[in-house]
Amino acid sequence: MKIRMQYNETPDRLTHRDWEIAFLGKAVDERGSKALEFINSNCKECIYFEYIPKEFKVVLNDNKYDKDDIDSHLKGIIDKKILIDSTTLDFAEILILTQSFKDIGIKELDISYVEPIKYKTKAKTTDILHKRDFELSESIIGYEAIPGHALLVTGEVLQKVVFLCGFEAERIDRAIEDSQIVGSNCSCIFGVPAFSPGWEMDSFDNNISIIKERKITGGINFCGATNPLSVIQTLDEIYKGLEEEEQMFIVPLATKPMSIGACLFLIEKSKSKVAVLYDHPNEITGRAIEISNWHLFNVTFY
Amino acid sequence: MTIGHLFLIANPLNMKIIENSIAQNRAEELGYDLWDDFVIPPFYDSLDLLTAKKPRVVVGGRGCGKTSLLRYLCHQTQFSPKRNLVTLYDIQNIGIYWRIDTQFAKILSKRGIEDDSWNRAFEHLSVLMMCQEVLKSLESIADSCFEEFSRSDLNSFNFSILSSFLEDVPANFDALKLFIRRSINYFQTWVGSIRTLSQPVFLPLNFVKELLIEIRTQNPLFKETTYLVYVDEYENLLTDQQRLINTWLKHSEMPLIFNLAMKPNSFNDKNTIGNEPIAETHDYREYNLEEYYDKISFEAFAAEILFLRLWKNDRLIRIPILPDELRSKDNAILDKRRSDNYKKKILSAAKIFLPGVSVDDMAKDVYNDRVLLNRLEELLRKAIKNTQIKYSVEDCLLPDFPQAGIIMPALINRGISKKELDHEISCLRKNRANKFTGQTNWIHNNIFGCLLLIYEPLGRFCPIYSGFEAFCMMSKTNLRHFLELCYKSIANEILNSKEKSFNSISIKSQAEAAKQASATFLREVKNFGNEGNKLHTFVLRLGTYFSYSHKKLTQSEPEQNHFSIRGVRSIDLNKFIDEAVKWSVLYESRITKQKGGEGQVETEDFEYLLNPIYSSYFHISYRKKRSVQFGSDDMSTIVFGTYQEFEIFMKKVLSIWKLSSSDSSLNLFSELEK
Repeated sequence: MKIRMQYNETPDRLTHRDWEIAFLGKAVDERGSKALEFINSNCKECIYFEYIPKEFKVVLNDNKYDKDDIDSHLKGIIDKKILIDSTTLDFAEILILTQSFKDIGIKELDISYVEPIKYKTKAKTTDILHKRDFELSESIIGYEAIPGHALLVTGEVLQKVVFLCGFEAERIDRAIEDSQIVGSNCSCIFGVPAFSPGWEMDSFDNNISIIKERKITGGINFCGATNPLSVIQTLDEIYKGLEEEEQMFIVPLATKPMSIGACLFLIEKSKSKVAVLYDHPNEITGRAIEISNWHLFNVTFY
Repeated sequence: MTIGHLFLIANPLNMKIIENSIAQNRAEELGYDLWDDFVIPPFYDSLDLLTAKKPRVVVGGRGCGKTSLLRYLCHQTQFSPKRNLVTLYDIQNIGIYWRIDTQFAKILSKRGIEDDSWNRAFEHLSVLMMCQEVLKSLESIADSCFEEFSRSDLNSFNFSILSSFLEDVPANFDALKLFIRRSINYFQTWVGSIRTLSQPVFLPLNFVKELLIEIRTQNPLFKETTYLVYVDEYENLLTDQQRLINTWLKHSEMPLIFNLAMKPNSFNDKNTIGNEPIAETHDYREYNLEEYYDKISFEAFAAEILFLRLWKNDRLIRIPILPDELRSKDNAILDKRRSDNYKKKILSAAKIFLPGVSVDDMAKDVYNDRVLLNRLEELLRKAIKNTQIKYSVEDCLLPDFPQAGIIMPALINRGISKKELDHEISCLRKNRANKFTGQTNWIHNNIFGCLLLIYEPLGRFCPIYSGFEAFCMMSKTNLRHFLELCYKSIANEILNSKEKSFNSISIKSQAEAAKQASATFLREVKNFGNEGNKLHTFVLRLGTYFSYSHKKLTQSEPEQNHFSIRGVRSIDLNKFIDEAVKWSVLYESRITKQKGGEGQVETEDFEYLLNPIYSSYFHISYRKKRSVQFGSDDMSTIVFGTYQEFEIFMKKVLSIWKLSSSDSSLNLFSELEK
């Protein structure tokens, strides 16, 4: 796999192919709307895509299908120039699409992402709140496996868990609470450098007490918050260290570019060796404020 | 240096180790073999969990010790290599701990496959996992000190009958073990690729039963053996999966008995896949662990666990317990542990290790600390100004009776006349019958609330939250909370103390620990299931309400921290309250009400206590003293209202209480949390 990464303050300064088909989600904030606006005017065909975790269904425009049947519905686009908009799609959706593209034999795809200037913090209330409490998720469905990327979490084999850490530390807490994961088998990856200088402190501050309380002692790693390649390389290092009987779980709770890195790592690896734990948050409307850089990742599969 | 029953010799390094031993407060962190760590609850002989021939359902809130108990019962602990004696009697009942990975179990549904097929798939996975544990249990016995059965006996089993289910099933022990492991692996792969891989042949529950029959018939040691499967976290399974397990539970018979463990309010669907639902008593018996804790002394049990943990990592510590006795199921030893003398001995040692401050001493401390005294004087000044009573601050301080002086602001604010107060003060001084003590007992009813009010805005540690008894009350029946309070206290003491060794934890370290633990556990509410965020907001709102109620200058209803609900509750409200009880955010208790006065019809209702572990965060009382009755509409506002609606509700309440929102010190407190 080869990844070419570029970013710019405006999308028209990005170099890209003439996309024939784009997969998009729903915009929940200004940057999402801008991303959709740009893609709609630069792509011949746009397909609305959604994954419904409780039903294990995917939505392609107005049609709902079983997630397990997605390859047969995407087969027809094998020769098209494809774009995935990761600004408006969530981790599970990007994973399902990229896995399917790889499975049906697509050789090249682009993934776009629009960075925010800042995220919404909680309004000051009489309740006791932190300045680092961000309003990112409306509600969380809970940890539910994504078919095709699921393994049993058991005490039978040693399972190394890698948390890609974002601002919402309680999601790490719940992953450990809801399963038989033991902190000593877990490690963390933080997005450093962050989107903006100082944001890494928000992430450290929010996660540090959970890391301590849950006794996460498997190590701390750092990858650029906008750098999927760095995430792939770090995950690969951990993967190479697995013993024959060991398995690896990835818990993507960090930035979208880091989630993209996780997806691209996952689709390349054996499904009996690597799996995902994901809690499917519903993003809150207006969670990001204003627009920073536009990113474009070009992925070529060998 | 000897103090009472406790003799602690510890250098900082040892204390660090002790800190780590207490830090492990989740059963999962201790693994499956808990032989060295588990303390048999003193009510163990009432549970018959390892001998019952009928299913048992263990119910208990988070952290009350369910998982530890189940893991204690399972073969890894019962046949632990650390155990010195395993007899034939012990192998008559073999426990299997089984916690299903629910995130994985959830994908065994829908996806274009019939429910019936998924049920069989779930049964297949369950069968494989149970068989794996059964075989592992034989290895545990072979590796234990039980001499009549060794590793070489494993290969004498011939499981060829199992090939009647599926030709590939091997007869040899090791080969069967490998086959099961491979089958589990293949099953996981198939679940991920149901359209492209061929479906495995699903094995029925009878496969496990046949395996057990073979073990019983082929080796006489096991001819009477019963396998007891303990299904943990039952509540997290899908409804169809629960129904399948209910069916197995209903038809439990030797040699395979199913038992369940779950949180309160979780056993909602008692249907089976047949026509008849399961029924308590007829099909199973329920054990509520927290109710057992209420019957015995939770304090004594908590103290035993603390001392065992302290001793385990530093055997130089002299402790008031005999560790071996804590692992004994012998009735005489359990009786001893339940005896008053024994309890008195360990409780007094626990109080030496985690000393508290008496209310009288706390009151005296107010007069000896300029900052606290200033605060009392300020409260008196305000009370005098509010009521225009003809007193000076000095008149009310009563330094010869500190407890009486501390409650004076509340009495004045309540509008009690100067004449009456003068009379009662005079009687108190002359040691005659008076309302400060005696039947009216103003001091008893108000001192705790008034002390909290003095400390409230100061942002310093409050000794009310220290002491072994306070830790037990804040933990209620939650051992995880208790151990966390101890762990944080020890960690603070290491940081705070200049001494190289210490025999007890200072009040400051304990009170700081209570504050830290409270903040930690409050934050944790967010991950309590799918309603976690709502539950977190609810705790913040209810805590805020109680926090303000503690600030009422009159202290007419001091220490409010629990509530009941008046009026008809909506289905959603009921559901939410049930969820809060399930996660032990609230503790539910029954109350009996009399309608229409004495002698009239009695009705049953419930009241709800906010988990007292949050009390330190909100600076409220952890004692269950006074209740507030919310109308169902007001409760709905607290639970479901928008921020603005809750703010309007609180403003209304504050105006009745003559308080303003600026009277809150909570933001200061929240900074301390970091």
